[in-house]
Parts: sequence; C-alpha cells; structure tokens
Amino acid sequence: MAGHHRRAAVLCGIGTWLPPRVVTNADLARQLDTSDEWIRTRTGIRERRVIDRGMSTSVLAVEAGARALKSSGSSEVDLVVVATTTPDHPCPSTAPEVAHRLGLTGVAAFDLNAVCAGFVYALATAAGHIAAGSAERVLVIGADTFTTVLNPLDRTTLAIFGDGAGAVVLRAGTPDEPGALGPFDLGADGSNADLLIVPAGGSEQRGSGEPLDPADVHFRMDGQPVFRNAVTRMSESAVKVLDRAGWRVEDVDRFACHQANARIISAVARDLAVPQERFVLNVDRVGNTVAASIPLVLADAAAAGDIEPGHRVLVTSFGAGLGWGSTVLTWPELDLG
Amino acid sequence: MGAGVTVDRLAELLVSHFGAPADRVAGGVTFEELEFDSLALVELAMVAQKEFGVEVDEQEFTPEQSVAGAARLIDSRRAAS
Repeated sequence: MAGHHRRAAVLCGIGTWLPPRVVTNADLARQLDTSDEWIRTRTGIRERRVIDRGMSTSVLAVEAGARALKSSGSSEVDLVVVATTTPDHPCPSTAPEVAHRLGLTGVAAFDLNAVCAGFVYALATAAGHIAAGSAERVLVIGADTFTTVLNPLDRTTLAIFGDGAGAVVLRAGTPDEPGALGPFDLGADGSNADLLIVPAGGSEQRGSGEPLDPADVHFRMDGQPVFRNAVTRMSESAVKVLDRAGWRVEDVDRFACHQANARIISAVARDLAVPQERFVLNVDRVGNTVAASIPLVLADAAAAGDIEPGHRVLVTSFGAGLGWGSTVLTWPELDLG
Repeated sequence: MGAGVTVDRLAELLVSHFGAPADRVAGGVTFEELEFDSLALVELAMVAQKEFGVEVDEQEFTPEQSVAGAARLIDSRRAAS
C-alpha cells in the first residue's frame, strides 16, 4: 500500500473542565500537619480543584467532552473513549452515559483504565481505530475524581491529587498534516503494581472472603521508588518515541509530561538534558489530575501561547500499573474556545 | 578509580546536575546541610547509577550522610561488582 494512503489520527479539537472549588495549600495546612512551603518545595503544587458533593467523574467528562466537540466544529463522532480510574460505578463503564449526555446515544463508547498513562493509551487506542478504518472521528476524554479515593488523613496524597477532565477530538487524516499523532511508545510493568495502589474494592479483596480493612479502600503510594520509576520510564519512553519519529531531542519545541509533581518533570528535563523552559507546566494550579493531566496541560499551554501552531510537541506520561506511554505531534491550529 | 576521584566527581555532579552551591560542597558536608530532601536523594541514586555504573537503592543515600560517605558507598559497590 502506498505510504501516502496511510490514515493518521489528527487532533482537531480540545476542551477541558475543572470543578470550581479551589483547595489551596493553606486550606490543607489548616486540617493536616503540613505547610504551604513543604508542599511547594516537594511537589511544585500551590492549589488543586476538588469536586463538590453530588459531582462525579461523568459530570467532569461531559463538560470537557462538550467543549472539545465544540472546538472541533462538529458534534459528530463514531467512538467515545473515557480514560479514567475513578468511574462513576464499578459497573457499567462511564463512557456510555457520558456519550448519552453529549447527545451521542448509540455511538460506541467504553472506558480505558491505565491510570495516569490513561490518556496516552486512549489516544493510541483511538488512533488505532482510525488507522484500521473502524472510526472516522473519536472523542477521547481523560477524566478523574481521584480525590474520592484518597485517605482524608494522608497529607502526602491529599497535597498531590486534584480532580479534572480534558478531552480531544481526533479525526481521520494524513500523517504529514499538523495535528497528526506520530508514533507511540507504550509500556507496562506489573511487577511494581503495589507502588501505587488502592488495595480494596476490586475482585481480589471481594473474593478473598476476608473482612474489609477500611484503610484498604484508600490510595497509597511509595513515593521514592515511584519518583525513580517515573523519571526513568518517561525519559526512556521519550527517547524511544523520538527514535521512532525520526526526531532528535533538540527538535522538540515543547515537552508535555504527566503533571504529577514538578520535581519529577525537572528531573526528566535534566535526564534528557533539555532546558526546563521547554517543559509545559500547570501542576502548580491543578495538581495531579491522573488521566486528565495531559489534555489539561496541553490546553492550558496552548491558551497561554506557550504551545503554538507548528510547535513539535512530545507527550509522555507515567502512572500506576506501572504504565507509561509517549507520542509526538506537530501542534495544529485549534479553536481554543 | 580511587576514593578521591569519586568524591571529586560526585561533588562536581552535585553542583552541575543539582545546582548545589560550589563553595559549600565538600567531602565532609552532609546532604541535609546541602538541603537535599528525600526526592533529591532518589535522583542522586539515579544519577550515580548512570555516572558510576553501580546499583544504588533509593533509600541508601540519606540526609545524614556526607558527600564522602556517599562516595565510599559508590566505591564499595564498584569493588563488589
């Protein structure tokens, strides 16, 4: 088959939504043994958004999805993928309800759980459907309300995570046009599953016959090995995807890393020997929003003019699983709302 | 590579990679005195692995440890490997 007939997934719309309630470091310091200075120096985070009672992941996903559809100039898609680790229910998946509320009843819809790497995995999945000809336009949403699985007494994780949603629309196009998603690198390491885990609530605990330990319903993480794995995996994945794309590291105008912690992003920059200024950042305002992180930071940087049309952008993410993924694209002209 | 060489190279890295003030980095200075927190020590373990080719666990560098102490740990790993 001639190369110029190859179909690519092209970014043609983006939208985000954050719940209105802001929780600052000072707010956390009033309830827990922590301080603004401690949180800022360890994480780079100043504030995060947290859902109000009555909200859930689907609410955020619908708001972001509607904005992405509007940005794309058409409300028609033939697939909706929701990347989330905090679905509204264990069953059914959240995507069908999100699609229904977006006026897309009947359209194929499913959830994808790859935690903080979920959005890149969802982009790769959507791009695969487009390449295979099983979809022409796909709405990819990353949405999480991770504050709902945090231990209300754990000052570390409460400082890191926030709630939010971001979405993009991908359409079928050609590999040489702006917005075409480049090659992908995806990977996983289940031998380190326990580094970032919510132990209870799944089939292992439910099927164990053991009484539920209330502490196990909350997320826990082992910070130091997570830091090390995050830096190593994102750096290595970035190098791999650059190699597949035929780009050199110095060709990249902007790096969009998963926004988990500004210190991780700085360490990735040092590891790749890239100036920090080329790494877009919004973790200071939103914290770690899990699957929403990548579209939120891309939309934020594009709105601020930090990412411009024509910029060569590398996206890389890492999270629980462990799982990681990267891709590249040349930033297209988009309606940023 | 002798201990003196390792400590000198480590001191260079603390300045060039981590931005520690050059006039304060010396063999007897502890990481705490250089304001290295737990995450900086994890990154140091990663950088040491790359630079010196030795496995250092993320908990092996500690705030109380001196730069010379860290250099000795690196050298002992090199001797063992």
